[in-house]
Amino acid sequence: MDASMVETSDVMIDFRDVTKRYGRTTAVDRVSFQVHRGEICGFLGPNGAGKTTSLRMLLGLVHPTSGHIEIQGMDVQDNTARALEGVGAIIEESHFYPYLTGEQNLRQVLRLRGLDASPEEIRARLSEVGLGEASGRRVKGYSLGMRQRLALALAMLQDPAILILDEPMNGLDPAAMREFRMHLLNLAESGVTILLSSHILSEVEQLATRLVFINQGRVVGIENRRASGASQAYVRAANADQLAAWIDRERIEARAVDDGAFAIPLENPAAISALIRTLVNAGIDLVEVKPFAENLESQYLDRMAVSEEVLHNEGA
Amino acid sequence: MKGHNIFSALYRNELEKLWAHRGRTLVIAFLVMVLGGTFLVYHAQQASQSAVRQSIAFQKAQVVQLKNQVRHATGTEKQTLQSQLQQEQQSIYQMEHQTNTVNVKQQIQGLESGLQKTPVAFKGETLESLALDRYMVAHGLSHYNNQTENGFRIVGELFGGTAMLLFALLAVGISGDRISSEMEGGTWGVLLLHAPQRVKVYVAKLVAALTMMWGFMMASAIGFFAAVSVALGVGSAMVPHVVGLRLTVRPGTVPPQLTVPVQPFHILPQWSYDLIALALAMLAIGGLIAIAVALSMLTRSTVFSLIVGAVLVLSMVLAHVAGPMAIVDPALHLPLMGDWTGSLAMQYDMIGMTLRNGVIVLMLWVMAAVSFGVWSARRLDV
Repeated sequence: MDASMVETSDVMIDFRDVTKRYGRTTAVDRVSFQVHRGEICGFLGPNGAGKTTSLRMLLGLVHPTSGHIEIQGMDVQDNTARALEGVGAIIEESHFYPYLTGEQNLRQVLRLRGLDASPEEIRARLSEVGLGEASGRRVKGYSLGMRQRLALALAMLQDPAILILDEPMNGLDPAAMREFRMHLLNLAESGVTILLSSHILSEVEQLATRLVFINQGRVVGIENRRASGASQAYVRAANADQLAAWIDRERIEARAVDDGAFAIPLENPAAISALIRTLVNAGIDLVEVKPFAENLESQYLDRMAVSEEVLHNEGA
Repeated sequence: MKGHNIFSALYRNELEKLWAHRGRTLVIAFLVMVLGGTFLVYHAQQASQSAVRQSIAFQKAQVVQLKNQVRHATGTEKQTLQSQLQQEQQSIYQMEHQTNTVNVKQQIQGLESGLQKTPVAFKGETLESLALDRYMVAHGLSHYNNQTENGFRIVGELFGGTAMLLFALLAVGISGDRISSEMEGGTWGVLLLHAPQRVKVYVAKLVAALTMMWGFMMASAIGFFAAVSVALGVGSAMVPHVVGLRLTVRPGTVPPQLTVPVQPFHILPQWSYDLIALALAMLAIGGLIAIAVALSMLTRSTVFSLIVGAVLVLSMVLAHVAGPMAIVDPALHLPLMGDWTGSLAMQYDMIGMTLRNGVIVLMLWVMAAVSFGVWSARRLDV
């Protein structure tokens, strides 16, 4: 999905030149990006990059110093309640009232959302996330995983159109993580827009259709993974030098990956057959050719390394 | 959100949280205060009456001895012994007065006959006593013992005296962490996520704390009335109390002491006194709760807001060292009934300690606290 082709009505989240300062410290610096309907947008950056502050501003929990944030065309600061009506969220660690039971915690939110808070409804919702038997226990006795499940139950209460998830998989065991991942994919397929901040890159890699990289309060890269993943080919030849010479000769903007392999850009995913034919005709002994989806970890580290350098130079 | 009343939802949530968090404390405090308080009142009364009876017996024996000595004495010695005898007999009469029921009609006659000889400076006090006695007779109370506790009397004493200190500390305890505990526990963000109307959140917290504390005070009033009635009797609902006294400085007193000038006396029967004392106490505790919630918002720390709140409440104990400035101390006006009866003014020798001034001081504090609360709530980010 090309951003330029997206209709305005498809923009679910819109950050426009948003800045947040705490005294002299700039936590978020002129951040601008959009998230479109049905996307799972990974929001990535190191600790202290400004992710949580950005998400808190998006949820109306922190007032931006300048700039605008809109959810489905509604300004979050001017009309917080209406803008957040269709938003579910898990922010950082899941916080609950420890002296209330799971059932009571859930009932609190159901009341605030104006939803059915009957005991049957509450028990059904807790059973959905596997907390049926623990519903009468005080939350202070819940494990981290149980708290995350409860947080998910709360986030999904009003069948949200948008889900904001900050480290939602903390504390989940592998089976629960997989279940959670499948749940998010199903939600995205049904049109729910998801903004996902997580340190578990392998999970983000499997979910995100779009990535926003942030470092030192600034957006340092935005990438559409559907497009980028399908329009490159991973090519490894028996003779790496021969392949490199051909790339130079043809003036192709390929990138060395590892083991002498190259990521060669394609006009579209189907162009990979034509590329193989061209390389064979050029007399290059091919060892491996496959669609190339760049490893998110290396992509992340590259982005952060570049941005550190740029930001450092800007600072100087 | 979807047309539902968000304030009502917030209020119900706050009550649920308060009850889950502080309910046990309130129940224990209720039992300790009512049962413990009744036991103390009962025990103190029994001990006091027993001590008076022993003193009477001892002094009666001394009177018998003195009478024998007078019979055998002569001249100056006889005069001295007779004077001593007179003092002893007066003392016995006064002590018997404390334990026995007084004939109010006789007391009126005594006061009326002595009124002519009473100096002008003391006439007001005598007239006040006369007004009270006449009220009692008019309402069928011809015999009365004003030293004994009873169900009706304890309620007025509870909300018009130093027992308000306990209610005040409890009020600080349950409301001083309303905002700070949310900030410390990380639930403020969750709350705002589902109810972004910050001012409504603040108001719901304030109203829920008021509801809880006022409920506790009403339950305490009923509990004390019932328990003391069982232990010491119900008493009369028509015992009179003078309120709205206009006090003046007694001429020639250094430091100035207050006295009751001649004036019309406004009298309340006990039942009305009790209800008004409870209402005024609820008003004062409401003011303190507004201050405690504001402190919780200001400090964002439960420990600090509880400490500062407790110091504020305990400042009533040290008010006498603050001089005339003590009048602006909200804690001093917690027993607002004391402002109205003039007992606080007499206690601190401050003529300005009136109900009107007490209410003004408390209202100014409440306005400052609520204004700060609303202003701060709008800006209170996660």
